[in-house]
Amino acid sequence: MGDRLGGEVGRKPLHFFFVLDISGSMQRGGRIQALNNAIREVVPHLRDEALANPHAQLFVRVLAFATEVRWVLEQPTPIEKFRWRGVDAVPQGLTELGLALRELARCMRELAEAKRGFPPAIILVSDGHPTHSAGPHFSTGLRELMAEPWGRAAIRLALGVGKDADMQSLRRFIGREDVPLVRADNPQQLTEFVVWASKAASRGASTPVIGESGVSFTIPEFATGNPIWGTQK
Amino acid sequence: MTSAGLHIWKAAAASWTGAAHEAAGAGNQDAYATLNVDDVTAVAVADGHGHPAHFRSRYGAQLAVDLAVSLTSKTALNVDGPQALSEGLHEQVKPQLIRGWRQNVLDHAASVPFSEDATEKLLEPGDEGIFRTYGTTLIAIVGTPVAVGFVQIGDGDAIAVFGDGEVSRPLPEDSSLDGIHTTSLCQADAGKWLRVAVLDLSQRDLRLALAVTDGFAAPQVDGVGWWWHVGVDLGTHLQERGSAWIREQLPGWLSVPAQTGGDDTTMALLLNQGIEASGPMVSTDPVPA
Repeated sequence: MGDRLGGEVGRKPLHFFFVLDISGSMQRGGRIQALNNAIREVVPHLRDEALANPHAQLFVRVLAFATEVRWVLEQPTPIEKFRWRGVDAVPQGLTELGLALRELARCMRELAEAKRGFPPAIILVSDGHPTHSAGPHFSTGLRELMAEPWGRAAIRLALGVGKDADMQSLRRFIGREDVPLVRADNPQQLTEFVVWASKAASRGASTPVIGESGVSFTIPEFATGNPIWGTQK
Repeated sequence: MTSAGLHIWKAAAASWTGAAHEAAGAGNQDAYATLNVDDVTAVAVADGHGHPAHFRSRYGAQLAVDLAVSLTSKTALNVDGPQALSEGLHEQVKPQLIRGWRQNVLDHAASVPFSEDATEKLLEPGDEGIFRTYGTTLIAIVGTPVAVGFVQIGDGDAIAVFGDGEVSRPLPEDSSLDGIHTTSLCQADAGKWLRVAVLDLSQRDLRLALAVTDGFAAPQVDGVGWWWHVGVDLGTHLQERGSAWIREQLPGWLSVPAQTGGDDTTMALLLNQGIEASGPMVSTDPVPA
């Protein structure tokens, strides 16, 4: 009776969201395969990050978007149990990023209601310009996300894939000029970027952010390689 | 049992360094203070922000709690009744707290000048930059025989446990607290975010009141109702085991969330002497949804 006051205590959850563009253009040049490889590659790194932080429990979710949004992994899954089976691109699928951000906003609202956890980490990967044929405009979705306190507080990182990626929209998603925004022009770069972003977001989110100060990110040097996605149509 | 008679208060307080701060060699950036003058007792806790931008926050926290117990008890000694205490906290303590803390910060910075080291680099010029480096939250509670007053800025929790078993959080919510960021004494508009509440004890007994920094709440699995359980537990312990036992247990109780959640954890309590070891407590209110 004297050991504990109140209820049960546990590690604070850190919710990690991968938001993946699976539009039709991701079929080109092996992009979707490269993205799947990159997610597979990142898992052991995130496990290491989780081991290094005994005060956080890292949960992963994966949201994919094309003409519609689809949870590839909706249940918050401990990183220790996370297995990536891959995702396919949707032939002729659009890039309804606004819809994906609306869905994220809903998740942020739920997290805020639970009243516990580190600020979430969100990694957005996209290779094109957001469309708004089936869902809200990108700006509307972003506004809805940013209207949620946990959406505003989330560590948001974004990666462009290839030369058609709309870096301006991705920058708006990140919301901070001092956070690096990177573009991958080949599979090796994509893997390196996803690993970097995931580790940076995990550390940034689980570092106590107190007062008005934010988190700073330093981007390492990446492989150059053949920019196959930097030129192809 | 006082049966809504005069309340005599005992103070208890402790702090435990967070495991993450311990591992980083950062030390404990929380602070607490207690003060008893005649029949008035005041307690306060503060959570220095700890971030590199607030590199002197441990001093800011200590300055805040020392000033808070002094100002609140002085005001409580000079007023009569809950209404007068409320006015005193609003009209005297709030402005004096902000003004006094800022002056004490400047005095401290003058007596312990900033080093040339990059770790003590001001991010803003002038006094505002200095205040920022000492940034801290604060919760103070002052108890008189007929009223208990609360003053808070920033995160952390103040909890009241009534004689009939009801557990409440008497202060109004700060709409800007999102569970991630906090308001702070170091803000230029700190006065806007200082919250005050007073409980009238003339009709209703209060068993205890407590202030706790957010290191306690953060690792609680029940993020919504944890404070209710803490209030019930403490009310029961006070009634069945007394204040000395609570004081003895307090560091151990704080060590659990500090080690699990990693953050510094500090609690200060006002304990009603008339309640001690007077029999089992019956809780009347349900667990908050």
